Amino acid sequence: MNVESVYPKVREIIADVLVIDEDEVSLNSRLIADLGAESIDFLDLVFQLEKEFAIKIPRGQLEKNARGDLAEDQFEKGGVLTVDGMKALKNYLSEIPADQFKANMKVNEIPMLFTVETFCKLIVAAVSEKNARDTVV
Amino acid sequence: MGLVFTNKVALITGGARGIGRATALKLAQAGSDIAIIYYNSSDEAAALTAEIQALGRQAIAIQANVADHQSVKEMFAQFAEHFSQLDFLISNAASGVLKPAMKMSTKHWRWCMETNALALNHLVSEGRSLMPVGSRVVALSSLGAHRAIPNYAFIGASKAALEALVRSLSLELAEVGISVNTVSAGVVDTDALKHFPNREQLLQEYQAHALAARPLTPQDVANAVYLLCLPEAEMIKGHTLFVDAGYSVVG
Repeated sequence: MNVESVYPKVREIIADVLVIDEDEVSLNSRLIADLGAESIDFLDLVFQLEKEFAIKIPRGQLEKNARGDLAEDQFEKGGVLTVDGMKALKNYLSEIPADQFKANMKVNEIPMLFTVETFCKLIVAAVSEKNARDTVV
Repeated sequence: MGLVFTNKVALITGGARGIGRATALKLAQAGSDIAIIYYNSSDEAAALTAEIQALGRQAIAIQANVADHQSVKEMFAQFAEHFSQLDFLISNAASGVLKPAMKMSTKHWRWCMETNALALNHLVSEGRSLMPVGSRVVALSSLGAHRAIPNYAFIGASKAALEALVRSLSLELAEVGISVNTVSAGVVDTDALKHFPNREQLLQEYQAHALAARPLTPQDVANAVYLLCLPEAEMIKGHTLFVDAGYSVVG
């Protein structure tokens, strides 16, 4: 399973949640800026993706993935990303062009960056993690 | 054994966090088995299920979108695989958009109304056949149903709709021995409150008017839900019970 294989279903679900044509959705569309997603749409989207792919995406999972090995206070201070935090975020969101990351970015502004591909990657990671767990059991 | 709710089963929507979580624990401590319904709190739901099982009760967690009738139907199909009856249906899940009314859209209206009010109707319609004589429905509301709170317009409207729906359902379900009531909570510092930009102000103003020296906790609200589930509360129907340390009647 990879981004290409999950993309058609993710695209369909995003179009459905946002009530837009699938034609309007591409892999690099930003959910908020390009597709007009709001906070409630993210809730609906995650719920639909969890059901479709039989995975769990806990709240804040994207931020947690981006944080990687950094402790919370190494990642952000007072809600603003640290230099290391920004580096980790850029590294994790490698599909997003560098000019999208503005200086002194706040943690609650991270969702502004999310593209369709971000969600595809999240799903691929969640599914492989689940499969690994199932194999162990 | 010998606990007041031994062999009872409670279902709590939005049960993984805040007031729902406190209610699940309170009813479990009183002997009830528990179904926690969650939407986006899978980790918290799993942790709470384990905590309740450690008390010696049965506990399950089911994911559902209570605003969606089909999802509620599927949720009850899963519920029925574990439990044969439902004694306490606690409709606690809530969601909304915090903005001035004039900045809100039809989509926001539907989201608030469907999640906070219509959900109760989905739950009762689908859960009704599992509910024996003497069972209870409790819906969680807030002061926004009666008062103008900044940025709370649509949620307040949905809570007013919810309380009106409780009265109508109370009438319809009295025939089959089910009591339906509302618990209206004052300002409680849960995760939900973190979304309010004026959180500190709400807490301070609340505390300034409340007739209590300490803040209102999720446990206080859970205790009120518990009271309405007691056998002695059988004749309380269609009522809105305020748990707000007197805030709504002072000043």
